[in-house]
Amino acid sequence: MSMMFNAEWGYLEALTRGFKNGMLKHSDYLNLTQCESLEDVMISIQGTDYGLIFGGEKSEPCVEVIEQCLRDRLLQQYSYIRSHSTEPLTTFMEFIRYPFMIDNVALLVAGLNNRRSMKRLLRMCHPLGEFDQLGAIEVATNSAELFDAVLIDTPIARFVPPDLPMESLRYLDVEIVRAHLYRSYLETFYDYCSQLGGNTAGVMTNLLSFEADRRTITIAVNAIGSDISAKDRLKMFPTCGYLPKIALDAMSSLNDAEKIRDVCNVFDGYGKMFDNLERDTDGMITLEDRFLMMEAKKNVQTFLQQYHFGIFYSFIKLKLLECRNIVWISECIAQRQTDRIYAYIPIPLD
Amino acid sequence: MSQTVEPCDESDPRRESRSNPEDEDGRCTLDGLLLHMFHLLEDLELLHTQVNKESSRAQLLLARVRLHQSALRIPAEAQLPRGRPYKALTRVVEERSSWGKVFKIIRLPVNPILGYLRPVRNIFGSLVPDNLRIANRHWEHCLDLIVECANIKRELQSTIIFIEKLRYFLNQR
Repeated sequence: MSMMFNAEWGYLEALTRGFKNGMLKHSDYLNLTQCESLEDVMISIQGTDYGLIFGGEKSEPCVEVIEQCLRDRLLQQYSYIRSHSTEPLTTFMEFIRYPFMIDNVALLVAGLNNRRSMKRLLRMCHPLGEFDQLGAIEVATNSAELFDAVLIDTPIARFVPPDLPMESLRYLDVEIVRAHLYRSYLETFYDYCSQLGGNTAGVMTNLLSFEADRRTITIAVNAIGSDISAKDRLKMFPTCGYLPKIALDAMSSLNDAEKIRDVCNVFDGYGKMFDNLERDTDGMITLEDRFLMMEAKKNVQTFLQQYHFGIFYSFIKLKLLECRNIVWISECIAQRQTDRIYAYIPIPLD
Repeated sequence: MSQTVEPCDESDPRRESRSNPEDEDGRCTLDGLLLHMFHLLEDLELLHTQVNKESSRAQLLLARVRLHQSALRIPAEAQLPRGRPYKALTRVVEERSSWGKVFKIIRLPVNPILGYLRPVRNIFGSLVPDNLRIANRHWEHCLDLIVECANIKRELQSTIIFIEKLRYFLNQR
């Protein structure tokens, strides 16, 4: 397998490892946190592996410009790997893009339901989630038409659950629609990786199971106090995680964070996510941050093994997290609230 | 050597023991009003600082939400303003007080059937993360602070008018 892997994808694996080695280290983050203005941040970023990404920018330095340039660089790296890949890596790389497509579709559904201008909505879409039919969405006048006429021929179509009520899509919460699509995507991706076998199956099933559990716990906590029924909550929980069915059934009917914590305490690692959360009354370090830290750690560990597709998935995830960290640091500097600048998610690359 | 002694005029009104008792009361009232005015100014500045702090904290929380969702644009922005009509949960009304009119906040109970929706769910959907719930609490506290600010400003204006009237009255005597 390793010989066959290197013949087909060895170059791309080496390239991705090179990209990963160029990611920001702890010292780079320290430099960024000591910047006093956005111009300083841009100069510091240009001194890293990012290079002259702001070269053509003549506009006033702002967080949006920084975010846009970082995103363009990630898109370049992704597109290069994708365009030089062969099957089954090509399909695997497409799977990495589907969550962004789902987010874009959720954005468009939300906008269409409230009669927003399509041009404005298309500008808000993530470039990694763009697909050919995105431009054609403009012809849809309501979200039911969007699914029936436009998305039916897109990769997203297979993630639409058959029991999703199209006729009442206008009144359904867009976050619930997104949760259903994401669950279907995660389970399909899990099955695909399992079929690939070898190291890829071992690494990816671990990562995707963690992602599924994270989605379950996050949805259970966020749904506290809402009018979503236990049956509807259960439909949003992905089933490909480490949490058994009995845990999913229990969490779907709980309306208290402490009780959800008790269920999570039974399974190693998840109960610790809830520790000391009540001490942070400012809302800066939440459950989501704990999960992001654990996700970063797992994605870095992926690079310890060779000859599998997991490194492509992990690189994209780590790069996205790095972009988010830089944007967070930039926001703190722009808002002159540098006391929280160190609350970025550390990536243990050193 | 002889020392120059100023003549002592028993009727000199600048002497405290010879001043008019009615003027004395007026001056004491003026002192009280001036002190009250300074206290109000101090309270106003403290409230302004608190409002700025709360607003800054809320801005940072929004940046945190974007970090979690990995998006500079979240679906909630595509939904605002909401197409579905709803009624305001919080009303600001005017009431009479001893020195003038004051603002008061009335909070109505959540009742989806009558159109009184919970704001954070109405804007961000049914699955609201923790930091947005905390941001919502900051926002409600900010609302209380702003109304308090407005009331103090009104009281300050009223006190200044009283001071001016009293000064005019005392100068006329």
